[in-house]
Amino acid sequence: MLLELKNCRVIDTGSKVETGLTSVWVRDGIIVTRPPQDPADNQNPADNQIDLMGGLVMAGGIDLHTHIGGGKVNLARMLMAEQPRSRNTSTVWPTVRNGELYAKMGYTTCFEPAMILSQARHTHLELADTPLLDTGAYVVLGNEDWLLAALGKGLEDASLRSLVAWSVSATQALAVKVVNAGGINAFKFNRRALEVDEPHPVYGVSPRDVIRRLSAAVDDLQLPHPLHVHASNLGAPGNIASTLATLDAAEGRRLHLTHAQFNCYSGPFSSDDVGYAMGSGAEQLSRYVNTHPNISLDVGQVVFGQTVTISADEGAQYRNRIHAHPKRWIVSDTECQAGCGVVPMRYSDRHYVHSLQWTIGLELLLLIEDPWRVFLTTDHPNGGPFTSYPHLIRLLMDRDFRLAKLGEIHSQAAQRSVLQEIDREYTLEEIAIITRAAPAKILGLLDRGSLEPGKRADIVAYRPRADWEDTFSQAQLLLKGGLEVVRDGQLTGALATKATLAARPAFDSSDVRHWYRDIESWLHLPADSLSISDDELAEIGGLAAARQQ
Amino acid sequence: MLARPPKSTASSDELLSCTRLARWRSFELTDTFPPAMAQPEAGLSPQVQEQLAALQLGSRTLIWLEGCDVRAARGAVKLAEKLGCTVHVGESNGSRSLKSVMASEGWLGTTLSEVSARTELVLTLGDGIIREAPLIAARFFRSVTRTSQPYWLHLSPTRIVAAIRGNVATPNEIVHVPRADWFNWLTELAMCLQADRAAPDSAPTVGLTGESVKLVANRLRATEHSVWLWDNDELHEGTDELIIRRLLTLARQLSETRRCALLPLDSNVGRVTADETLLWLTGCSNTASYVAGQWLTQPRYSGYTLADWEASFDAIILVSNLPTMKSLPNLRADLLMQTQSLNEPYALQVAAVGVTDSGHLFRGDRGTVHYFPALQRGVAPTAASVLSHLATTAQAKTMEVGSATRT
Repeated sequence: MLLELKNCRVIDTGSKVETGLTSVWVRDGIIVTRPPQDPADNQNPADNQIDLMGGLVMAGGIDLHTHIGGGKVNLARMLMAEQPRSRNTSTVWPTVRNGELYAKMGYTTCFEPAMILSQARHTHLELADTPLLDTGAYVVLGNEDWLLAALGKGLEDASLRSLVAWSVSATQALAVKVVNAGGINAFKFNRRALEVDEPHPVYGVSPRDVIRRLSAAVDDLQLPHPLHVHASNLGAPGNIASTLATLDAAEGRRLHLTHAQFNCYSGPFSSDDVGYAMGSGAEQLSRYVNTHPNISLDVGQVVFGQTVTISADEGAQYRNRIHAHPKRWIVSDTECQAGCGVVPMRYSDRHYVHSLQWTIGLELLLLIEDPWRVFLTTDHPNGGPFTSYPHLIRLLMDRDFRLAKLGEIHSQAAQRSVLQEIDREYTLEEIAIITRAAPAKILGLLDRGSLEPGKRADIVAYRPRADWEDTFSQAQLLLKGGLEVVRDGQLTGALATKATLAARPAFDSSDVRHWYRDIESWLHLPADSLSISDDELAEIGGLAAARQQ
Repeated sequence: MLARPPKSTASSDELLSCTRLARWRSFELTDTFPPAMAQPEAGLSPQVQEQLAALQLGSRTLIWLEGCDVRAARGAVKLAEKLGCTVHVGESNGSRSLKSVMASEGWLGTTLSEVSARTELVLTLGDGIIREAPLIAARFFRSVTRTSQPYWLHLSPTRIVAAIRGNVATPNEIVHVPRADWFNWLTELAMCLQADRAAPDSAPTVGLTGESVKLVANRLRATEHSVWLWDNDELHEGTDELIIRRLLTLARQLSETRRCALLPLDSNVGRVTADETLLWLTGCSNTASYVAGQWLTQPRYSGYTLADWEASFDAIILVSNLPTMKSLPNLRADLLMQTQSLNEPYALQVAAVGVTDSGHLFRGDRGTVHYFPALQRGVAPTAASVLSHLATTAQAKTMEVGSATRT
């Protein structure tokens, strides 16, 4: 079956740049070049044609950091479920709704970034119930008692690599994430904060050590995605210092800083600034990223309105409890591996800190020069719902709109922001990079992210409308693997096949036997019961085979 | 609270002493899976299909999940979407109270491994936890990852704790607090600790009626990390929600300067599993109705008694594909389906998770999900396949009605 999407305005980085309207060809779920045509035959070779009438055509969107499945997400659902319907503006939707909303916006691939070993099954069960999307998850390491104890005793590199490789394989993960390295564990021993160079109160290892060792292991294993780091002191005034120290800990290796906005606060300006102690560290962080090609980041943009924050960083969430709106919050220790904190939040443009957060995210997106190393996320739902992406795209592409919105936020935050001085407007090509091509590249997803022949036919078309927000709010057409799943912003009812995207680092199973002993002594469970086989993964959701690295 | 793990790290002696496991095995080998049931056929026989087709199901059908794995819960949700009906997880009063507190105030929680690893003081509330989780103390005291063992303080409503006898580990201390006094006792404890925080050098004793309060307060003051542990069904009375709220107050109060957490364990892992699955599929906790294309929580169902449920629906499908430890008073939880749409209740035996069917179940603390592969193949259809069949049939019926209308 050969499909022609005709009259497309192609916005892409991988394929040949077309200035006018052109066609995109799809055969059996794969993008192909236009088939050669017999000059004597005037017949169009396509079996089917869709006229997009000048629609903007891009690869399907890829969200590399969105909390859409797992134990903490379900806790957040529970916390918000019994709100009266009229006041329930929860952004933690059921799994099916997540898939539908993403698809209507033109996204086809999403990643849950926080999956611990013990809850990997729960995460995959939820992701399997999220339709219309290929999904994957990052395994969280860096706070396990067994790992910190071993690092404190001078764990050998080879042994660490084995543990990392086994953890990725056992949980069917694509990447490795660290959340507040050592800090979550320290909180369990009643240490309320752990600085980057501060030894863990029990195991002696510092967050810097954990980041350095894990980033090296991830690199040595040649995992496609660099170590995905949620830095120390999340949300604390002045945390830009520890964030930069965390980036230094990679010692030149690849490192991805996640939801950077929450770790980008300068300290008090002066003693007169009582009440406005936090400032923006965006210029500092952007300078660092612009001069360190080993670093990438996603933003975690704040959007005004009601949401729920969920994080494995229970210490940070415990600090945040005083800001809970409505006044209810959950904090929990989890299985000697991490924690969980759920705090509802209503971001207000009348609030200085919330306004500051809003400016910082945009500053990062606009000050970092290389669009291949900065990613548009809201850290859904922590900064706001993923459904706000079209609004954020307009803020990036339309300076006048941005300045108008700047005029609506808390005046002190607006005055301090450099946004007034930034003229940059993202181009459509740059939007295609930060939302498609760059996520695909940094995640090692070679089969998607552009419209090059040979890529999967995950293709979206947007009908140009009055402004960019309207334009990107709903897909005119979405093909998932060549199957039409959205037309004119509505689901067609077609059920596209889903895949779980996972990495397969090589390791010798005999190398992890001693880890089994350690893990079992902490969890009182057979360590091999934590492993999810391909057969079980298929049983979880009837998913396609995991991706081979 | 771990239901039939693939294999256990507990010693064989400990397993032999586990009364819960013994009961489970006796159910498995006798009532639930008699040898006569071991047939190779696992699909839906034509006879069964015919019987299922006779069921009168519609929007006034209630799908009651008594306890099931993820796949069966998914099947129930799919069927409810087809019928436009209601799914309810058959929770206990204790579970309902707990959820009410969590939803209105939040929670300070933990999981089993955390308690084993670092809790210095374990306070068990009521004898139910010892009865329902006989190996749990051994788990806490067997840890090789810590240098000092936790102190176990058991608050018992009875002066003779018969359930403790024969267990591998016993409490370091048993404090007797009559059941009727729990709320007041906990309130006094909270006041005692609060006063202590305000004036650490002069902890007041005036007004405190029980030595037990002072004893426990002193233990808590001297402890960096404590956990309150109880069986979910222990706090089943209507006013017990207040006790849970008081425990949360205590935990929050202590956590200002130390770590304190709450760990209610649910012995019905099938109920926990059904509830978690319903939550992520529908966004509704415990009860979800599919109305006009969306899932809604119907406030009127809150607090329904069994009689209310039975009076409100034309048909009830009861789903349970786990061997049950105990029956609910009025529901036959060992049957898959029971519907009022026929003159006689119709029951269909289905495969059991971890025995003749594979499946995923949450642990009672929700800290992890286990996969239970089938130990033997094909004795009965799976609950999921039956529900799926009903959903397909429901769709077909709808289509028939549709074409008749058009005609």
